[in-house]
Amino acid sequence: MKRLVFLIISIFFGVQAFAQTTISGEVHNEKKQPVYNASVMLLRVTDSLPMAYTFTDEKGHYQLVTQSEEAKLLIAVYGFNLKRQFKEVENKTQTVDFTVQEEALQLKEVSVKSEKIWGGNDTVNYVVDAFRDTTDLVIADVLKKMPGIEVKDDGKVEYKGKPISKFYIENMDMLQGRYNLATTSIAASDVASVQVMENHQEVRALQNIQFSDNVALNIKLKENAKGTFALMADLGVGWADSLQYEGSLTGMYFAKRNQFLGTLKANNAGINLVDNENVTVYPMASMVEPSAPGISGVRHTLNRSQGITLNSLHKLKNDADLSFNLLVGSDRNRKSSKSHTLYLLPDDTLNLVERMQSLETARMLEGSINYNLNKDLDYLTISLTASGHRNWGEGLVDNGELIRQEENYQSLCAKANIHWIRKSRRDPESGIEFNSTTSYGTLPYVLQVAPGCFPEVLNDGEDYPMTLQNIVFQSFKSENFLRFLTSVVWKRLRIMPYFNFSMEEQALNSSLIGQNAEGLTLQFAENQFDNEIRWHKYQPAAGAYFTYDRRRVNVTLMVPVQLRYLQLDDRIVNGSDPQIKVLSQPSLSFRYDFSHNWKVSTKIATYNNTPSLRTLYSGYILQNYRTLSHYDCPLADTYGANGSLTFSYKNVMKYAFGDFSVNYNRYRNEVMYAQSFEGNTMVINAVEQPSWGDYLSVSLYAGKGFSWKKLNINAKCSYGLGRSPHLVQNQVAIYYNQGWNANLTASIAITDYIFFNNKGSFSQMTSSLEGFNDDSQPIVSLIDNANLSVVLPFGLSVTPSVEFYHTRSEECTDNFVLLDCSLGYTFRKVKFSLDVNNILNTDSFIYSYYSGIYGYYSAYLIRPRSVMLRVRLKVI
Amino acid sequence: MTKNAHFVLLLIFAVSRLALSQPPVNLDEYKVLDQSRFIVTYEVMMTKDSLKPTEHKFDRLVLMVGDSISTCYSNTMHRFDSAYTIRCAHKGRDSYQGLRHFVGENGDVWVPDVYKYYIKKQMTVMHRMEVPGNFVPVYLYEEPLDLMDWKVSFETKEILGYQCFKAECDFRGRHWTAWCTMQIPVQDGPWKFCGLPGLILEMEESHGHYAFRCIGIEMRKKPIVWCNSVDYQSCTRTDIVRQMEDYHADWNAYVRRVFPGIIVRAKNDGSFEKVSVGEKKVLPYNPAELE
Repeated sequence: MKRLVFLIISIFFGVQAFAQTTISGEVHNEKKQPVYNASVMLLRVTDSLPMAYTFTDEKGHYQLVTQSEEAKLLIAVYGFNLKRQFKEVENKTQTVDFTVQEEALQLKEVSVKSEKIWGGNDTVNYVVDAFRDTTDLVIADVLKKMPGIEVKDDGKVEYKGKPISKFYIENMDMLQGRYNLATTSIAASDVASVQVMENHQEVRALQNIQFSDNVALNIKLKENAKGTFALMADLGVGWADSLQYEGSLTGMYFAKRNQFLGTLKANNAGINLVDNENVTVYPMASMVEPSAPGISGVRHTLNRSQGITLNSLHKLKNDADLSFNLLVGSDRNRKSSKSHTLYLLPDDTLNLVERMQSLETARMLEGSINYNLNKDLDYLTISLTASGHRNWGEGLVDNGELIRQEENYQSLCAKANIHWIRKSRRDPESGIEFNSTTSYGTLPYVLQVAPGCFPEVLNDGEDYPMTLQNIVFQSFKSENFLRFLTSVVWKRLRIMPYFNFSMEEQALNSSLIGQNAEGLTLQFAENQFDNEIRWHKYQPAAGAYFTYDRRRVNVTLMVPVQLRYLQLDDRIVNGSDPQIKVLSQPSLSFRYDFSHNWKVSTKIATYNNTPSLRTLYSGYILQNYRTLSHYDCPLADTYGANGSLTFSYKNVMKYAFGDFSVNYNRYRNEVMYAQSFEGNTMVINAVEQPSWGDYLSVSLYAGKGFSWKKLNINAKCSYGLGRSPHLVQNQVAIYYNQGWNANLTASIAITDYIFFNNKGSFSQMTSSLEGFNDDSQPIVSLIDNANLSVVLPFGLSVTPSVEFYHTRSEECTDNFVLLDCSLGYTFRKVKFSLDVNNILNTDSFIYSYYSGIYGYYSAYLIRPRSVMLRVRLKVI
Repeated sequence: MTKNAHFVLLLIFAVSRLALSQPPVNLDEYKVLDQSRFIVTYEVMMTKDSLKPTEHKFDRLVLMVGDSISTCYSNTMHRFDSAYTIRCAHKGRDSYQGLRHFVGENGDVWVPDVYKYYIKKQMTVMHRMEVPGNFVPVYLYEEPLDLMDWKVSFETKEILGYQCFKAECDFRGRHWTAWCTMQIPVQDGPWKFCGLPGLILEMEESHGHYAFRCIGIEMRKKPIVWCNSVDYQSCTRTDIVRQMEDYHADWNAYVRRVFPGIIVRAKNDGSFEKVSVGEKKVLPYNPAELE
């Protein structure tokens, strides 16, 4: 029996020993160093299917065991960054060593069909690559395709129809409001995601204390775009009626603690590099000149402009941001139009037809420094901004008579702000807040009009060659706010007392003189045409904020009591006595989150306005060649209240956004401004006559994105109805204006190579006079802009676009079309484009509108057919 | 303190299923462990209730593979952490929001993050318990890498253009089938799966309760980071399993144990209801690891 068992075991093990093959060996690299953790796989020779596998140990050793009866075996050795190696061996126990070479791993990439949008209650994240296509150059191009977001022609961004209040790049605010520099410069391919933050309270220390309904946008860059300096160059040259050029150099650097964006630009292609963003004083007179239509500036601006911007931000050791901004620019702009202004009067309609030309030159220099420390318990912002503008202009008006105008002015503005919050270390709910803003502006202005205007009023009916209006306007304003962030809390109700002191000083010196044929000065009636006025307003106030904040409900009530001291010191006529008033202008805001998707908010506020010196001067000022005005009126107030109700919807998972809002405003004036016409000239006088007006508006916004063909639709519709009293020819006339407006933008990727964008807007406006036969026709305007981008092989693309305009008014019905086409070619990282604009060579843009008591119709000279070759490349 | 006042105070801590969330992580405070060589995205299918086997939930997992370390995390959780990080940077109104806000209609969250250390042959699992608010620590436990005993077979199929072979294993009470490609020579895969001579592109559980499918592969260098700002607490896998069992066996009792003061809870419609001490709330429990 024992023998039998032994025999069976022997046979079994014998067979086993016969069928089992052990292959062992060592894997090392070319330097004879052992390779750790390489995969060693035994494969069937016929079909390379795996039979056994193992991994090398620290010494590079491996051992594989197989019971395969195949005559030959295949051994594969491979691993991370190793060149794969195969050896065919006999099926027998043996040692097989491998010497492997290093080789970088290359994979066939598979792109994830990413979710386009995701987010929480108050944040929405847009994945840029899900919206981007090959024709998009800068981030503004992609933002336009995101549901809920709209980009204006100047690069400014709106979310659900509301302008964003802050723009961050990697959570840092370097550009201080001029963020269109970034949206039109940062390459779309460098951005990973765009984050929109609703109800954004930028001050950390005020979080959960002061509710904010602001919207902020943050650009998150891809890793490879961070910490490297990029220099982009755009160059263009072409021909319209003269040589056209456009060039820019943009340097960018975005790192964790430093950011920089600098641009150097020059063009005569319609881009104006001068802006008035931080200007606080504006001229009180102006040339009558062509009024630019509300279409893209590159269509109508016939200019020559240069500009430099330098912006940088540095994070300091205490995590505060220190930023510098410098902007230098100049612009020379030529305008030409024929306009028809229609004044609706109770007993008549006045027609004014003017052919106009003007040439304006503007130069600006602006600099700002900002320090911002934003922590949970401490907040400090110090910002200083100074800007200077210099403008010259000359213009011609032909209204049957040829009128020559010249203006010359320079403004200097400075603004300083300190905002400081310190919260208690023991009780972080309590603290103190101080916010002080001081600004100063001065504006000397000169207007020359030839021939002399208003001879009946100014020169006893005798014609004279020239009128000269000098105005110097100065303004100083200081607002100081102190608030105690108390921890007086009762059932989430917080009470915060505050004090405010504001002061405003304005000074106006003006003189109106004439020049006779001999070039000698003509003094008009003494004092009647001069001003030397000081205006003072001091306003101490005290009050309290009552806030109630729970997870879904937020209520803020502000109850102030103000003492207002107002004095008009007219040094030529008679100084008026100071006026002292006690005022209270409470306001209430309420927000309730119905659900994750629905929110409702309402705001009610009362206000009080006092006219500034701009409408209080007693000596006549020539506002323009056809308006001579003065205000003969005691200090007067406007009281008003406005309320709004907004329903807001957002479903991020379904890419759906919506807003519906109703606004109502009602006001009461203590004075009215009488406008009387003498021929083609208008004289404004202020008279004591209480009146009231109101305005109701309803607006609806809806945005929806679809996965299907990347379709994105944004629609906005609004209706407004207003009642406004005017004093015309010594009669009170009530004007009713009503209008509605609908805008629709849509983008779709028809295929992977064909993209279509459309932007359409329709508006209709009517204006009528109460008690008078109303046969005025509405002004109807329809604008549609469509473009189709087709991506062709070999890096080519073609983008034809068409803009259709239809204007219908009492005066005329006008239809016209602007056609453009762009041919693109990409060679490596250089993008070329050949743009032909205004192919049909349409010469003027026609538009009309109603405003208050007048209707306006204009045919404005636009840029003729132009051809331009552009190159965009990354220099570094 | 009167009973009413007590009730009002406790209201502040009122909880609902909707308000539940894992503790968030600030992604701005981290140390870099490695650089990824490539990033793999998987779609994970989960069946939360074994009695409803056709009700599937989905999430996306991101596997970042570096030279010596890989990490695999839930994309939904990562987005939730990103939103929290923005909040930390801005302290805006986007105050702490439940993770549920980040989950789509058929979505859910694959909770554990896994860091695999190839040289140490160890993995660190980061587990966040779903509890009210963010007042609990993030649990960590370690396990060896060679958890699975794979059997390879001759079956093959092509996934996303990669030739894959089949391998099978039994892992903690479930039978899994993997599809692995030699063309991506890393011994890694979704979640805890690893140890095959190539990247696992697909995993299926035999009852169809769980599956991982690769949906994207990207050659991309990105830091593999370890977030420092978190209150980590070391534990064992058994501790987590016990907590998860308690949590699902009686959710009310679990929450009462974690927050002894809670006596009311918010219903989904916003109203409140009192939780009686004896009331039991059983949640379906069908974990990926049954043992």
